[in-house]
Order: sequence, then structure tokens, then C-alpha cells
Amino acid sequence: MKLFQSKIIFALLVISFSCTEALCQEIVPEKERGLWVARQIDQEDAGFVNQVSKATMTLRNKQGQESTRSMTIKSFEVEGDGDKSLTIFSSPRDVKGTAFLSFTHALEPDDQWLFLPALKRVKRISSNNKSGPFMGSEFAYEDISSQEVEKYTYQYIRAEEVLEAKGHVIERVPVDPKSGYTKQIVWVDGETWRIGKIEFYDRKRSKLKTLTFSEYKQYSNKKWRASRMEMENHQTGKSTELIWTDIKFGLDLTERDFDQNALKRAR
Amino acid sequence: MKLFLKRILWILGIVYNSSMAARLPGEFSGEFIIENRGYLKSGQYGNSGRHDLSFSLQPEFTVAWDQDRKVIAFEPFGRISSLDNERSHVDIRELSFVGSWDLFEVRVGISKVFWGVAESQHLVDVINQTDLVESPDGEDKLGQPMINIAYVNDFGNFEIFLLPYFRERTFSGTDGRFRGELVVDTDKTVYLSSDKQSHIDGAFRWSHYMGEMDWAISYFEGTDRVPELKAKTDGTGLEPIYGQAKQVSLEMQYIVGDWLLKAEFLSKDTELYGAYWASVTGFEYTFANCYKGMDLGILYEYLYDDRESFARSGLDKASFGGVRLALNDEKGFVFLIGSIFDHQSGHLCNTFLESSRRINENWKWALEGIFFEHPKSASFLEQVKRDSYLQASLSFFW
Repeated sequence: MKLFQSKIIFALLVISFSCTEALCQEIVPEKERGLWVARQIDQEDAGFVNQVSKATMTLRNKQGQESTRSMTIKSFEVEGDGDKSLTIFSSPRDVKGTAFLSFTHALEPDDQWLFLPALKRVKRISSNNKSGPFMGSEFAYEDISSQEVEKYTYQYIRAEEVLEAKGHVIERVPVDPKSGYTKQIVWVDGETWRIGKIEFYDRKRSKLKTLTFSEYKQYSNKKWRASRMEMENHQTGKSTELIWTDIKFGLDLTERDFDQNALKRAR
Repeated sequence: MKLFLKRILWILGIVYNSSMAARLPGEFSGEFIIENRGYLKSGQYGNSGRHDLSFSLQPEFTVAWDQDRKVIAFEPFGRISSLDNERSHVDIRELSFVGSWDLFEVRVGISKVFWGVAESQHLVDVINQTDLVESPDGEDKLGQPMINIAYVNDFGNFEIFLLPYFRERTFSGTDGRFRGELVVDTDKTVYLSSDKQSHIDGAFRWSHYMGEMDWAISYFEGTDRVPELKAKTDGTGLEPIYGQAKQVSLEMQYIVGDWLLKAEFLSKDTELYGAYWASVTGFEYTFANCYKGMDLGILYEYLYDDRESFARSGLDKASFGGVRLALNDEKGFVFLIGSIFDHQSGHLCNTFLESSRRINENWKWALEGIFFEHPKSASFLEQVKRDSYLQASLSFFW
């Protein structure tokens, strides 16, 4: 009994040290602790207003052969709804000028349009295919789309050091049956709520991929962004490295820069 | 052959000159294609050449500023064909300025606009003239001079188009394929309007979406993009006659899970061949990520035209069925095969296939083929029944 009590005290101590927020998690019931962590991550990201950055993906197969994709990604925060984003590809050169407009929603399907520059055609596409590979990479569409809290249910697993800070490990289960995953395990630091690592489990419940975030930088609006993300597929031996550069926040952008006319202007 | 070599040198000249543009601010990109087309049979009207080696070049120069709200784009195009002099041609695909000011967007210059949702036929697409010598599928378009003003609000996108200059359709020459017995003489073009080529055409369009439904209603009034072809009095060729036309169109697409339901309706009143209506209705179903990330799509469209003898294509009641496979791999492999079935004759009338795969960052190969079978007699398809071809091309993108 005594041993049991001291274990509880020890656990509480660990928890309270791992948490710097006033709303400390020992007062969050265990059942809701996972959701609480997800909300902290979401709140920390809220207020970024808009972001424009360049991204370069390097795809590597088992034999070490590489190919790259580069793009400009603009995103726009929408109050009370998911973010809007516009992705403009610049390489491989045959897809240059192809652009992708996405309006994320918490629970309804996302609205997505594709601009095909050869025909100057805008095509509305089904957002159902979230589990498919993004540009042949190890990232699925659902991995790169805006992460809304409502898209998963959560469970707290344990406290653990993440990115050299006291952190948490949570499990999240996608609400959408069209997701390619049965669950994801997320490692997040408990001070600045930076994600360190995500493990993805496929529909057969076996470990499929690991996404590692590194080279975090804090920007002038206090937001942290990883400059490097590495997605490793454990089943195929393939990997994709995603490098972010020229990250800019708070530009003079409006919702008009995220509509179908803007999609057609994109170069 | 000498002329052919001269043209190659001339195209290289364009490449050289446009590479100078790289020193200016903005972006310089483009595509160079080596295309090798082989016709399975010799033509039925003395156009016996079965091999068309051609080169095309489409450089693109763009400058964008003010968060990409203002863009100037220049995109010339040129092709030289070893088979057909008429297929060797140049065009300005784009030379325009587009600027967005809050709720307004203005586009001035030569540009291209696409309307429609269907795949087998672009029924309502009317702004740009078809560059028919490029491909018999009619997907290639000539640059159209225009002033296009768009106004966006919560009720959608409202656009007006003023089209001050008319572009004539391109047609195959004596040695070319996809023609009838008589060659179209584009120097003998006849306009029914006294304004001729400078008739100002206009259009209005409202497009919007709600949830999973996208739609657009458009109105066009001006020179009909489709000419009537009439034998010249001396019987040596055909003269294209362009009349006036008015058209109203509606296009819709509704997404239900993996289904895209599509419809295009067109009501057109023409000076030359009266009023008619036509439609394309169908669906596209995708087995998304069905095996190792690949997508398998099934397409079906029903084509209807209420003109009893819709002689030009011979398709007044027809079905299109197709299969599209996208591997979504690092090479972006895609394969599409489709057929058109004529309900009146009960026969397949043509089958086409398209496939492409990236070689590396800058190179890509593509395969394309069209095969004609059982064409309806006295239709346009009957005239081109010996023009089935298979083509391999290699593209360089920079």
C-alpha cells in the first residue's frame, strides 16, 4: 500500500514537472489527458495568421536512388474552421505550374481543387483519397494536410522526454474510416508543444512509417517550425526528407489569395 | 528536307533568343518535345505519308509580383512537322497581364480559358479556338485576345469576357491527315458578319460551389468557333464559313465519396445550321489507393446531340467508357484508355490511349494512340478511318 502511494506521488511529481502550463495536467482527468495535449498543440499553433514557405522533398528508394520535388506552400488561418492552403509545384519540371487548393474542415470532407496548367483547367477533386501518396513520396495527403483536433480521438500514453524537454506521448485514432491508419503515436514536448516524432500504424495495425521532426526554429511571431522532417517507411525501406526554407509569417494575404482565381494565377 | 532543316535552325534561334530572357527578373521555363507519329495505313485521299516526325517548343516567361496578384506571362508556341506544312505553325498561346484587386480580377491580352467538367468531349468550352492540327482530340487551343473581368463575392465568381479578335481554326494541309477528300483552304475564309475577323464576341459566366457541388452557367455570343466547310466553286478545296452563334451552357459536378458525377448541357443557336442542344453526362469513379498507392479510375459519359444527322463527328447518341491508372509512384506513371461507342450503329467508333512516365527531373516520355473502327458512313469519322496512329514522344522540361 505504501509502495503504491509512493508510486502515485512519484507519478504526480513527474507529471507536474513535465508541465509548465498553469492548467496543469494532474487536474486533467486521465481520460481527457490525450485530448488536452492535442488542444495544447493546436492552441500553440493558433494565431499564425498566414504562412508562406518553400518546401523541397527528397525521395529515396531502397537502392538509395533519389528524386526531388519542390513547391511553394501558402497557408491561411480561418477562424472557426480548418486552414486554407495553396501549393504550387515548381519541380519536377513537367508538373511545374500545377497547383493545389485545399480548404480543410474539421469533420466534413475537405474542399480540394487542382489546376492543370497545360489545359488551364481547374478540376474539383475528391478529398476521399487521403491515404494515397503525395507526389509519389512517403507522405500521404493526410500527413501534409492541416491537423485539426477533431480529426482524431486521443489517449494519453505516458510522460517522456521529447526534444530534450519534458514531454508527452499520446495515441490518436483517425475519426475518418477513409484514413490509411488505425492509429498514430505522437511524441510532443510539454513546454513549447513541438512535435518530435509520429509513428503511423497501417490498416493491419502494423507499424508503417515514422516521421521525425528536427532543426526547429522559433520565428518572430514566437511560432516554432521544424526545418526538417524525415518520413521513413519501415515496410518498403523508402524514405522522404522534407526541408522547409524561407518560412515567412504574417504576410499581407487575404482569403482572395486562396480562391480559384488565385489558383489559376499561381505560377 | 532543306526547308525542314531550316525550320529546325529557326526553332533553335527561338531557344537561343528566349534564353536571353533568363537574365530578366521572373521565371523562364518551358517544354521541348520530339514527337514521332506513325500512321497505321496510308490516307485515303492521296495523303499517303505514314510518318510524321515533329518538334515543338513552348517556352514560358513569367513575372509575378504583389503576392502573385499581378502576373505577366508570355508563352509562344511553335511546331515543325515533317509530314504536313499546315501542321508546322506558330502561335502565341499566352501574352497577358492579370491583376487582382481585392474582389476584382482583370486579365488583358492573349490567353486561354477552360470551361467544362467532362473528359471525353469539351462541349461547353468556347472561348478559345481549337488548334486542330495539333491533335484530332481538339484539346489544343489557340491563344485568344481578350479582356476578362472577374468579380468574386459570397455568391460566387462573376466573369465577363470581351473577345475583340477571332482566331480561325487550323486545318490539315494536302499531305496531312484528319481531312476529307478536299483540303480546307484557310486563305479563302468567309465570314457572315460584316465585321469579319474583328467582330467583338462576348461572354458572361457565373460559377460557384456549395459543399460537394460545383457549377457554372455561361452565355456566349459571337463568331461560331466551328466553321461550315463548303466546296469552293472551282472544286479545288473547301472554304471555311464562320457564322454567328449564341449559346447558353450549364456544367455541374457533384462529389459523393469516390464518385464524381458530371454533366454539361449546351443550348446553341447558330446562323448556319440552326438551333440544337447537346449534353454530356457521366461519372468518374476512383478506386483510390487500391494497391500500393495506385489509383484506378473508371469513366463513363453519355454523349447526346439532338441534331438528327450530326454529320461532323457522327456522334449524336454515343457512350464513352474509359479506364485511368495512376501509379502515384516517383515517376508519375499514368495510363488512360478510352473508347467511344455509337448507339445508332452499335459499333465502337474509336479507341484512344495515353500514357506517360517521367524519366528524371527534366525528361519524360509519352505514348499516345487513336484507333478508328466502324465509322458511321458519311460522317467525319468515315473520312479519317485510315488515320489511326500511334505516337511516341520525348519531352524536355526546364
